[in-house]
Amino acid sequence: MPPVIFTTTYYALLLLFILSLVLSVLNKPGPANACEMTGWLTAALGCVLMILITRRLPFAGRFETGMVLIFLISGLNLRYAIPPGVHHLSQRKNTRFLKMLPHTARQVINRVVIVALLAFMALGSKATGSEYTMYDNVYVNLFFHFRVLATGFFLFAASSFTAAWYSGTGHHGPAPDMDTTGTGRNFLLLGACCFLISECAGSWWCLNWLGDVWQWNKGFFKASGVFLMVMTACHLPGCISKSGPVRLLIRILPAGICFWMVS
Amino acid sequence: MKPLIKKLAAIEFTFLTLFLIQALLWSGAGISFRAKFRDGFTALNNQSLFDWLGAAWSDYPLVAAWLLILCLAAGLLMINALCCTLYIQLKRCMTRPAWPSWIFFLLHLMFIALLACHGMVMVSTQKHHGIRLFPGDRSSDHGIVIRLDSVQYTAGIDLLTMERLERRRHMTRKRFPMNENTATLLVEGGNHHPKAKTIGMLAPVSCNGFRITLKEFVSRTGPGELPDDAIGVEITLTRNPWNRVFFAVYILLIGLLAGYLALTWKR
Repeated sequence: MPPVIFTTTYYALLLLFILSLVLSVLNKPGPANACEMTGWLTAALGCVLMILITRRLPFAGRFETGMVLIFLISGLNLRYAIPPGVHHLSQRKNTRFLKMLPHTARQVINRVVIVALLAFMALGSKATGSEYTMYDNVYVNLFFHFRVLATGFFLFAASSFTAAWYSGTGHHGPAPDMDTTGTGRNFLLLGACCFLISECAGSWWCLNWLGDVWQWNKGFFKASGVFLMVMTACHLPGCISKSGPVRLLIRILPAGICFWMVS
Repeated sequence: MKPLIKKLAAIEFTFLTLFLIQALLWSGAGISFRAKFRDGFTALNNQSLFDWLGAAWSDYPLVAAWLLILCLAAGLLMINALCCTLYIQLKRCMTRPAWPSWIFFLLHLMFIALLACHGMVMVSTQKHHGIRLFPGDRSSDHGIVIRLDSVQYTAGIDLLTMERLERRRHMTRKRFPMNENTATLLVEGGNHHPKAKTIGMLAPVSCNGFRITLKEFVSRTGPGELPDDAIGVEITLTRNPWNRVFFAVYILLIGLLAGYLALTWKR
């Protein structure tokens, strides 16, 4: 399959998400969402094509990982676009950019993340990744793919926490928004669930290859570090919980580290 | 006694132990970039913990000290989790019984069980690494007799003489299909007659409680040298009764976390 399909998909995504970001900054939620929806469908098409061509789950290399992450984040961004109590996008049209609702702030953050991901993908080849022989194995597929899924959920959780924190800094209200905080908590735990599935599959892979469920090397140390980071984010003592920026930093760290690991 | 348990069950203690373990893990990842420490970790991967510890204090003292502190920190986390689960969460379940509370309690119990299983797997694994066999060779030093009967290898001998990273790049699904590259072993354990077993990469075989895994195919010569025709295998022999319990607990933990999340999903 010539890589022209993936190059076209990439540039279509770049155009759509830059448009979507610009339109959301210009406070035009309807057209911005329409662009994002088209982008989400394009990313879905890209993921399906990758699965059909490689006959495995997408996870290998920057391009495949980026495509799955864009599909996940834009899908969740659309799903959580409208806050509870607001029935139509037009109801929040007149909100000024710097005083935007936490939900709108999250949408903008996620669009920035997606455009940054696309810029990151520009640095590498726009084609499917390596065809290493072990990628035929189901546990290897689960290990890598669920790690990418976990990264997507952690990134969405991070944008939710950031939007909640932003809303509590005086732009929107005195306290962090509970709705976006709740969504952040949901996706942090969902990410942890996916990460554990990935690690369990990875341990099985390791057992069948090297004879042991654990190896003393930097890959295993980093993976355990990420899981413990999620645990730390869920066990914040009062003194740290009160400090907004520190709490935010601890909550968004798993997303950053996990992204570094999969990219 | 109660104030001590209260202190041990405190969330501040959880936070500190989690922070300490993370610092240790990240420092471990950092020091493993240096060849000397990486060799220490590799040696630990290739043998049983107690065999390694015997020599590590003189060969790799920093890695040994690091491992000891990590185990102590994990022990502290386990004590903290145990105190919190039994002292705080169980009480909460009794006073306000509800599904989420019970699942939360069980989730913590499973985490403690997973930590314990990790420890048990670590101390109880019998491991014999790097056993290289060529057709006709026999290994009988580890309580099980293994003879390599034949090797079915289709990928070309040049692949085996490449450097590690280059070999990985060339080991594609097309060139090296795992199910077509196998080895037949004659395995004999205890009073049993030899049994022919086909082993492949990621397709281990079991005999007498031993798991025999195929790490890689090898040629008789090293990278860069001229190869001869003989292709063999490098296998690892491990025995650990705790592996099944470890995976059962792992899957239960994931199930409980998913259940807890579903029941407490914030809309």
